[in-house]
Amino acid sequence: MEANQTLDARGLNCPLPILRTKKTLNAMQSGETLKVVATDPGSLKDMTAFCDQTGNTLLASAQNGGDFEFVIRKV
Amino acid sequence: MNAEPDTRSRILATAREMFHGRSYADVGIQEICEGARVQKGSFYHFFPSKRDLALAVIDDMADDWAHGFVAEAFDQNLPPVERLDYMVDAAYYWQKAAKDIEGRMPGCLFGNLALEISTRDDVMRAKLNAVFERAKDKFRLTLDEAVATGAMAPMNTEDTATAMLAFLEGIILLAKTRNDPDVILRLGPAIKTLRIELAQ
Repeated sequence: MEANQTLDARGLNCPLPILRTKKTLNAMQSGETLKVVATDPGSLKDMTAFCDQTGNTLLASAQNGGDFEFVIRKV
Repeated sequence: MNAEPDTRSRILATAREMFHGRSYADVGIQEICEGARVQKGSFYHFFPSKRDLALAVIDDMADDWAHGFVAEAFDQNLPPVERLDYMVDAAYYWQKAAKDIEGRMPGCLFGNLALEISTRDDVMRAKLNAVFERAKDKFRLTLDEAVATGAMAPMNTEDTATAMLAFLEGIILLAKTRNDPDVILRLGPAIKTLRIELAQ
């Protein structure tokens, strides 16, 4: 799934992927999409919780080898 | 390849996880060695005692924090007040992720150790106090900047920074006691409202 922007959070442990995701989304426009690639196994639950709490939409989440990929639409 | 740094790192990482998830007193050198897959002789080559190991664990974790999520949260490019929110987010997501994996919220390693050993070991207490001082300074520099740019009204930034650190440590302790990281999410944002006024 293509997105307006991509954040490479591979190699970062919680909570860094979430903090970087939040920072990146803050600089984006409402309705734009962000693809996040992470390797932290906790990132699936974290990203789901983050979207629930912030109102952003988690459009897709997938595991690709050791990578977890998420696409988020900014609220 | 030099195996020494790897062995030392393994001991540190294992001890850090065990001290954090349980306590300093509860964890013995034997099980640290087993967890890190090292011989006792090798352990003592790096750390003369469990106490020396604990002091190194504090340094190691403080260094990780300083270059990891603390640096990320107190990012100079963020407006000062937003940095406080990022620090609360960091505490929440970190504790939540640990609970998701272990089933138990570990709390703050430094807070846990401070509660456990402050009455028993002045060297460890002083080291933990230095970690808290550095954390407080991050808050104070943020508040100084917020006041200088007019984002916050003048206040006693030194004492307010200390109060903010105490608040954050306090809600992490309460959340740990309830085994519920949502306490941090619910109460954390109020950190921005704390104020110690300047003396009249």
